[in-house]
Amino acid sequence: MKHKLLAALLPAFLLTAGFNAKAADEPYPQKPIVAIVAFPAGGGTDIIARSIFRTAEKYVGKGFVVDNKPGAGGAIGFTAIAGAPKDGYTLGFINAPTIVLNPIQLADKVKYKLDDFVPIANFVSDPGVFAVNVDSPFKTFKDFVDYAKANPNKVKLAYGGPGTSEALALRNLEQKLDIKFRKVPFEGTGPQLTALMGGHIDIMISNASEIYPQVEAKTIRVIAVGSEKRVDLYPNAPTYKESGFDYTQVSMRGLAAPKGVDAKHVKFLADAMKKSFEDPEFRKHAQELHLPLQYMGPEELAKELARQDAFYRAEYAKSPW
Amino acid sequence: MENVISLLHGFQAALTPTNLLFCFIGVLVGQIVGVLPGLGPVAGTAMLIPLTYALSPTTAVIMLAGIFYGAMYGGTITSVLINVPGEGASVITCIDGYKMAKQGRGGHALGVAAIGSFIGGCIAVFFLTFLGPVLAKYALKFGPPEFFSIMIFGLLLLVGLIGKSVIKGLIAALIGMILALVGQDPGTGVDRFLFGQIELLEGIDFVILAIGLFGLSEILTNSEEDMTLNKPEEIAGLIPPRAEWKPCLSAILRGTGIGGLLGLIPGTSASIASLMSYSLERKMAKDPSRFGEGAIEGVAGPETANNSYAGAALIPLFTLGIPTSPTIAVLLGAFIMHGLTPGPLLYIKNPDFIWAVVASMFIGNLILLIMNLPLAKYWAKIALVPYELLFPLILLVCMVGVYSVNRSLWDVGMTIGFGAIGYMMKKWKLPTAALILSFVLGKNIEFTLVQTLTLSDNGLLYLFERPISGTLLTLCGIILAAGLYTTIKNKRGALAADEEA
Repeated sequence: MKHKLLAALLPAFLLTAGFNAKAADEPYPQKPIVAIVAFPAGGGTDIIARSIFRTAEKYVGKGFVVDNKPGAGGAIGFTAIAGAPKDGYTLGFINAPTIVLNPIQLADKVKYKLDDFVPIANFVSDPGVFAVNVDSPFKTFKDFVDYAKANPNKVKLAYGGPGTSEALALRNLEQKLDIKFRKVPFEGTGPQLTALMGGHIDIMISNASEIYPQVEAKTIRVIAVGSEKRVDLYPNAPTYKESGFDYTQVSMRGLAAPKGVDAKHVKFLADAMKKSFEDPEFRKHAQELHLPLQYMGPEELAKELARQDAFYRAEYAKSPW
Repeated sequence: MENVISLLHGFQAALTPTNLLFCFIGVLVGQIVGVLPGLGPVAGTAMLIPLTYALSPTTAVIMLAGIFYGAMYGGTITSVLINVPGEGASVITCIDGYKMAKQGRGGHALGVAAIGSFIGGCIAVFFLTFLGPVLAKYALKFGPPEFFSIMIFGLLLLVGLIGKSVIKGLIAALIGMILALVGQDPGTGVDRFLFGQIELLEGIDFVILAIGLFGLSEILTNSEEDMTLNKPEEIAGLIPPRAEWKPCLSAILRGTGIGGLLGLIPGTSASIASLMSYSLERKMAKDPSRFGEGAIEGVAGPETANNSYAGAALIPLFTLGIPTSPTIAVLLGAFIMHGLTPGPLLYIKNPDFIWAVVASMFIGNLILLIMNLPLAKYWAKIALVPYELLFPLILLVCMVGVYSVNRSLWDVGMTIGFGAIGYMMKKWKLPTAALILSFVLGKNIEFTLVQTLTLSDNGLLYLFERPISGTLLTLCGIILAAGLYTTIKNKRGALAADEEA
């Protein structure tokens, strides 16, 4: 009787054991991968996500599903990525410096830590820009700084509001160059552009990719970009550093997995993303969309996130902005 | 003349079987999205953008624009039939539209809204294709002080509409203003009224507030009453009685003008357009006391105004590359995704695209009219469904709708909470429409005030140094005086209807 039971159970046991062994070795991925985007469909992050995935399907072998989880300035989506299953089938887009800033600025409310993410690749680095009306007397960034110096608290500057990385850039600008201007908060780039083109403000700070249509139409001019090197989008615009303002301001968009995903899967995805990034099909598409591309591998991105974390923590310790 | 030829070419492009099909799909989806509470045009358009990836840019934008104005039609249906406004612009429609549906005149309300929307949409698009590029430049003269003044103007119109008890109306409006304060302070970034909840960081969502305060509270209060009462005996047809034609047509034409002009100005909102149209109609009416009791002009005017606003709002997007509303911002994303750069160069670089989309808007509006006139009769029959069946169904659809936007149970909980608040407000006879409209305006008023004060050298005086905002504020003073006078004299306003519902 006992033997019979054993005999009956044994194959079942073996079968499950076999399944278990198979689960560990089975080729990855077996099914489409979900990628959480912490911003709405049609936004900048959503656009890069869908463009890279279109090409990445070729190298990964399975499709991607973008899952938009907007809210609370990205914090809701980032939290969802951090808490996602660790099976490698849920990834997410991380936006530095936002993802770095949330746990610092909203320490008591945000339920994720920077350590909860394993970087896979960065695709886009959208530098900050200072832009003026095409007929503005500020021909260069230096013109603007000189004028602001001579006329303290006179220049009307549009920015994304307190607490943003733009606000911190402006604080550094004011402190480092000893100038002061009127910072007018705006909700998004659209209203900023309206105010700039209508002559209600003198200068605005935003991101490179968001003002391309108006720059191309020659209604506004870019006088400085916040990246380390000049960008292809505006080859004639010098960097902040070239203009005498020692600061970098870049919005990054990259892919990460929740911590705890098998390292083999992460490596596989990182390789596939690198290939996709170099694929001419993606390059062509990205050019049509005017995306300021910048690739970083897992180590490089991890290092950059750590650097930003240290920098922003130090700035926050001085005083919140 | 050149434009006329371009437009004809546009029609040629828009009338290809593929584009016609996707125009139809767009307006149909838009209508469905508009009818489902929670799924407004913003969420609807955003969700469908990915599906347009495989289409050509022209076809894709034709379809997405169709969703945008189709949703405006759909929003009317829920406002009229179940008292759930899909967005700020439809709040006003609830006041008289829902009353009409209860009187069995839902068909009339929907019919006149469909006709008005068609006329408003077409006239706005037609004129603005030609005048838009010129007018758009003047629209830029509106800066933060001007927006502040427009919003104050809107708030005063609201005060003019407040019901029997001015005190109760003001209480409701102030609660709305306070709710608008939830989230980060635009000037300093300080968190306000978050209660440790990160979900509140960006403030309270309009859709959640509207569905809770209007839809849920309506179901709650009605459930207390005898369910067999207040049922219309029969449903009137679609075409309003002949005597109402003339006032309706005037309301439609005035609504077209108001919506078209406001739509051109980036930074205004469709809610202001419908609010202005409603108060204008009430001022023009021979017997203003009908308003709030099912006055057909109270539906015709605002519904036309918000559709003509929607048409006109596309002009700043096409000519300046600037989105005038959240929905337009989503469309902007779609443009970029398809490799099109909106802005002045679009007219030069992709004229075929622009004209095809413009032409498709005429066609789409026509499809909507043809589709809606026969359908309105069936929609209106919802009012005949026994409440025991209808209420649970509405409740279900509302909850699923709210959940589907962000897939967040927090949102569902908030909606239920606001439902309870709305129920209490109805018990205490506080007008919920005053709350929600002041909520919509309050956010903008605060933001533009902060901007104005930052720009100003001498505080609030700056508002009067600028001609447009100075004029608007002076007008506000006059309206305030007149409004107070009429409210005191009549002791009765349109929003009073809300109290009796």
